[in-house]
Amino acid sequence: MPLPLLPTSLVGSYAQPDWLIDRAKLAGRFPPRVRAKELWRVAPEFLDQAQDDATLIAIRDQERAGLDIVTDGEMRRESYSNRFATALEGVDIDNPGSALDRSGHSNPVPRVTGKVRRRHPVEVRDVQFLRAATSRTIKITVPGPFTMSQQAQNDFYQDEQEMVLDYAAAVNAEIKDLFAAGADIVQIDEPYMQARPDKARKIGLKGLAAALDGVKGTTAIHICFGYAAIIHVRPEGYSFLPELASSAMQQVSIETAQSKLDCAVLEKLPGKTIILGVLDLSDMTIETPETVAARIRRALPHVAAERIVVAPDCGLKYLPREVAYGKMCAMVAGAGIVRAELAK
Amino acid sequence: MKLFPTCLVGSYPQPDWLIDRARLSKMVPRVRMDDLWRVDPRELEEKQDEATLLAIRDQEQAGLDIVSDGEQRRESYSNRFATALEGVDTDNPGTTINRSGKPIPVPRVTGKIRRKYPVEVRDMLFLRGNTKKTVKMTVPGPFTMAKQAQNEFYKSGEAMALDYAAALNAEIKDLFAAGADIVQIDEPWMQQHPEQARQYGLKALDRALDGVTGTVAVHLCFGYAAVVHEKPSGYSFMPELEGSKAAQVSIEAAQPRLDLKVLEKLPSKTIILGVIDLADPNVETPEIVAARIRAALAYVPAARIVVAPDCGMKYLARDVAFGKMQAMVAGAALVRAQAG
Repeated sequence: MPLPLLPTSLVGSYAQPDWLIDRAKLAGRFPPRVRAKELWRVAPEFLDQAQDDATLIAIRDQERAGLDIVTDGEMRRESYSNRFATALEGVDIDNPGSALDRSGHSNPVPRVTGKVRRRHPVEVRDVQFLRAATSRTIKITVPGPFTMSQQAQNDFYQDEQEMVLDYAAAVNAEIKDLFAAGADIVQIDEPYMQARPDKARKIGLKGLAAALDGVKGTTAIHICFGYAAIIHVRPEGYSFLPELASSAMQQVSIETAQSKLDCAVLEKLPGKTIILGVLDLSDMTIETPETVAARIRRALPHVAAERIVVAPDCGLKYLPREVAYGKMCAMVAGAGIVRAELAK
Repeated sequence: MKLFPTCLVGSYPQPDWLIDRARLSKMVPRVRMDDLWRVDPRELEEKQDEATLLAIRDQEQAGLDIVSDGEQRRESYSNRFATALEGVDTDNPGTTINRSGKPIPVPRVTGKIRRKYPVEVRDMLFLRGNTKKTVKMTVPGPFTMAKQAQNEFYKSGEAMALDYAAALNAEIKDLFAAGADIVQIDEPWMQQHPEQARQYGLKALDRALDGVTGTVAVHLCFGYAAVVHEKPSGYSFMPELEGSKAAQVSIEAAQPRLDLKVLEKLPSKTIILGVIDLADPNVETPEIVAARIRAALAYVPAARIVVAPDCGMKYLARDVAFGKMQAMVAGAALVRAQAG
């Protein structure tokens, strides 16, 4: 199905239902970096089916809201990164280490005790399931190599760059498998590039390039200031973003709604499609379509409409489902308003 | 609505994370079987809601025109309603002989049967709130409930059936008020006890429909394919329904290879035609479904046919049920294309 002008999409996650996972506990802690199996509210032997069922509902909700690009809603994940990061070889999750979260608090993280390698495809079944369940354009997300390296305790590598590159090799193999399994878009989530810009410039960009090496399909990168539910203070500008202009991915996902981002910065990404965050996820009030439209219009002086995908600021994981659904509907309606204006 | 609209009879497979399906298919509960649920009682309603949402979305995705709630909240089609009534002791059950000839525990009727409160209205509101399609809700019929009970209070089976009917009548009116487009009364035991069904089952059915203005269907069948394996090729009770107030009659035709000539005896009724054989785990091709629909066209005009499975899909594997729904929709489309 060809995409319309200003297509709509999630960043990645959709609200996980209460019956599947303990949302209160999920929201009351930092995003898990090691496993947090105790969060699931379904017996282990039925968890796969329950996660599949929640995924189906996430897909149908996106379709009903009218999104053009559909994700699996990350229903099977405790966090955006730990499903992939904890499946790797060389990583000890039973005896975790600790690392500072972007808020500056210590959080248990995988301890890297050997060479990081991908043992097996991690999200391929997720893509196959998504591909079989919808005829729309589909996107799947994977955590980025730099972010994973920052959410780990390095007890093995002499050189952190080397660790990032091994994470990147694992991501690279995964991305190729995800496209082979039917993904239309693969998005790399690299929020820690914004949290640690100097290090991102030093070792992150090389990791990103390695992760995308030889990849043919459409790739995106998501950079953000952290979940609105957890990180409350937001700067008005990115400390890391123009650096992505020369990267190989075609799309850059950024938040603009909550941060009221000065969209002039987008001029520094002239070749990129911008996945434009227009839903403020700290606000449980559902935006009006007009508010969404105004947020899209703010970007238009700086990015051609043909290069804009309309999206929330970040994942909808922590929102109540009815709010998340309402916001998706508002987003679709808002994109429709601007699309109609541009067609005049 | 278009020609040959498609719908379920009522139930859709329940997820394994919700209910113990292996035990569920061993018997059809008439009293409560709380321990079938695999969920903390405090979370049960929420998880039943989610399973219902899933059942609705599967039906929509498959392309059904009329959507049910899939009876995800029920241990059986009848016991959610039947055990909620006043006058019925489910803690100290009685016994009856089921249609397979085995004794089973059933509610013991120890006082006058009355509806205490609306039983399925919340289910109906949930269904109405979650789909834009035409919606159908099922309720167990008064005759069937009376036969699935041990009477220790009423002088006659008829008096008991009429009180079940009064309870049901109030429920049906509430379901229409809550947004139901179609309410279906499940009366499988009319087929099993045709003499008594003629004696007082029809009267009870009419009582249940007294003053009801919405579209009502009656489902008759030979029992779940998973439970009842031998099926006759003809109904012992069916033409009698021509005189009832129900506008639609749901019958199974695929598995028993029903001689469809009998449908001529229901000239005023819309036929909810069973074209999916639930004893066969293989998914029908659209052509097979189309052939089964065409077989009925000799006796029933196209405008009076709704396309459905033989019976509830409760005991099927979900992927099989989904495939069969898709085949049903595709098969109906084939016949529709020719008719149009």
